[in-house]
Amino acid sequence: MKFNQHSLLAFIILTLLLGVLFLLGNWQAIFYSKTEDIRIAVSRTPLSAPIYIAKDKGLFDPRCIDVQLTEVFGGKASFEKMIRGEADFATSSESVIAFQSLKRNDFANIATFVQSDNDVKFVISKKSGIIVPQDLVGKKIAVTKGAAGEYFLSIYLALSGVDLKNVEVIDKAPEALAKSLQQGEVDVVVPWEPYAYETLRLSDGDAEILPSKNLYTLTFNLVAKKLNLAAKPQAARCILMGLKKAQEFIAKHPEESRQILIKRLRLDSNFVNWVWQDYIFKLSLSRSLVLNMESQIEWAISQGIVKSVVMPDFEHLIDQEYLMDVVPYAVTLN
Amino acid sequence: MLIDWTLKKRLGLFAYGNLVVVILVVLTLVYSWLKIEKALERQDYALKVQNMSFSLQRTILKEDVAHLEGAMKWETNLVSLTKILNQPPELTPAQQTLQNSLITQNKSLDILYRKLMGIASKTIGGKIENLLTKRLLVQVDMIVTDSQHLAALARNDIKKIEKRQILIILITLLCGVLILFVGAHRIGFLVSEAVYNLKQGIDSINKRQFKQLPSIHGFEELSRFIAQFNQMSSQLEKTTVTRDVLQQIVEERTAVLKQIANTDHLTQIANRVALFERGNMEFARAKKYNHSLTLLLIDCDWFKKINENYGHSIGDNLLFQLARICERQLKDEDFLARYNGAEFAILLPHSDITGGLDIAYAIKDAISENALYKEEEKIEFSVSIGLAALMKKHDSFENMLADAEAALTSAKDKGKNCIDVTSP
Repeated sequence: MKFNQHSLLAFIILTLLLGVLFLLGNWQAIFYSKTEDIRIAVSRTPLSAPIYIAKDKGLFDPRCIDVQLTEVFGGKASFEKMIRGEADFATSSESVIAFQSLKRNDFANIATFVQSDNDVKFVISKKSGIIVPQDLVGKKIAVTKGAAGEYFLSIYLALSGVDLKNVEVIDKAPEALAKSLQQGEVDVVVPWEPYAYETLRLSDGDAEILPSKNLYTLTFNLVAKKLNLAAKPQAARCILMGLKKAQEFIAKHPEESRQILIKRLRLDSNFVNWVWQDYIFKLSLSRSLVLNMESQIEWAISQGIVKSVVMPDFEHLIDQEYLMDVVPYAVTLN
Repeated sequence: MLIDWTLKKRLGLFAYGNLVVVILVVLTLVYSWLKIEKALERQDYALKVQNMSFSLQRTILKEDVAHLEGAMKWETNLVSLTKILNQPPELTPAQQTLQNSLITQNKSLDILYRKLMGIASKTIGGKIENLLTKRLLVQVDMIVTDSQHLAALARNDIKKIEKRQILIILITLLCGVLILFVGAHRIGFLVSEAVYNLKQGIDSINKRQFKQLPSIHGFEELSRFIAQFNQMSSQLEKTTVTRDVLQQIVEERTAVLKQIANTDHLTQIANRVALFERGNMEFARAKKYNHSLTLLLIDCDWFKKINENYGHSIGDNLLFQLARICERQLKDEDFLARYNGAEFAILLPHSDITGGLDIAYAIKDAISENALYKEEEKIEFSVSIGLAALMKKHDSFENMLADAEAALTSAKDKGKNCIDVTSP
């Protein structure tokens, strides 16, 4: 029948068009040659929320990567785990990257995924008699050296007109800071979250925070060994794609995102609500990151925190290729 | 399932369908236009923030922001930036994240600047002032980055809206064209099928074949039209007499009339006219093929007397019975006719004189066995029979008949109830 032939032709054309539309929607999947097993050393902090949420909501494309998370205390530990080859990717603050860049250049930062202007805090013991920053002279201050806390401590003291030499700085692991203040070992601790909240909770009202919001913007970054990146370039893109989806999810569903974080890190909901407003979850690689790291090293050299006198080439420690492929407009290095 | 919709309804639906498609396209265009307007508004906002942050950046790089003129310029620009940031347009969730970042960066900028001013007034030292100036620069750069990011998101939104709109228009047009194609084809198919069937129907009627057209589904007017055509065809079939039928009727009627004209009313056998017609035909055939032919003439003896004694009805009945007796002795090919008054003629094709005699004796025997009664009185009657077989001398049926008459006269002269044969 003539009519049936035409109907068949119309059906075939429609099917072909739908097929083309389907392929257009899933074109990326065609290029995935295999699923890569990826280990990420995640710093156990709400700053790592995009990674936890991407994992929890299945936003890492299973056709491309199978992500395993290893939790560590702090970005420095995460970085070291990655360097030891125990993880493919690490989550570290720009301070860790800046200080590590003085020792090595075999790694690259592929994206900043969060920033906060209030993550590192000054927690003082009420018994120490500190009321204003100038009272810090002669006090014992515990901080995690080689991380964001150390840099923040130095600029906070400088801004307060206190010389670094006039205080006693003690190096402590991030998870040990709360205990050292509680036990009266030190007068001040400079932890990041959630250890600042933990310090306040353990002090049972004997500790308080000195106002320091907006003085320092901390960023958290995804870092990997250059060799590893060269070996698994598609995995890096897929991780960033998952983080992009997680970032969109957080913007659209902040409450659900908080709940995921509370459950995952077994955190107090009051704490998460307290810190959440300080976090800006966005993917970027910007000039300000380079300027910030340069500024930190410059300051550390001038303060004698580090011995080096050569400024590392940070632009060679940032690999914009992957983020450029996933969110091109988020790369503003030039 | 096929629905018998009217053509008007189908065309109406087509028109409404197209109108809906057009309205959909217009609505999506209006929707996209509104979205693009919003995205442009966001882009403008981002550019304003970016321009102002560039001004702040220039101020840091060119002026001493901690003192006099530089400080004034900085503060003016910072107030302007804060004012712009306090009047954002409606933003998407992703853009709101950047807006939050911008507000935070701006606050940090303000706090850092105040710290810088505090240090500058106390003349603490160059190092920390230098650090703070660099921190300000970083902070401004973060604002520039965020505003660039915001503008890029707005541009991306516009691209997405454009792509989506093109896709919507393409899909709508594709669906519209498909619907039109299928619909137009369906209507065309139904109309051409109906026209084809009607043509077949009309051709059939021309050939006096009154077919019923197959019904068409899905098109009410055509269904009605076909039904009316079929009704007309049935009506015509009932009322129209074809030429063949008419011919047949005429032939039948003619045959009946001919039979009436060739039949003797009293005895219900062939009459004299029919005898001559058949006699001439059999004579000609026998002559042509050299077949034998025998003619018998039978006359009822004393018939006039029977009529007088018993009445004409008995006479008529006698003739009727005699015809039946003769009939019973004949084969299908033989021919019996009433020749004249009480005389009957029998033509026996393919029979010679012996066969004729056999029939003559058989008739006589049958007459003797079938008496006629009137009120239990037996009426005796007999017949005289004259035979003439076809001979060479005969050149017509009349000649043969004359010989048979001569033989009959001879039989009667011999005292009736006799059989006589024409001598060769």
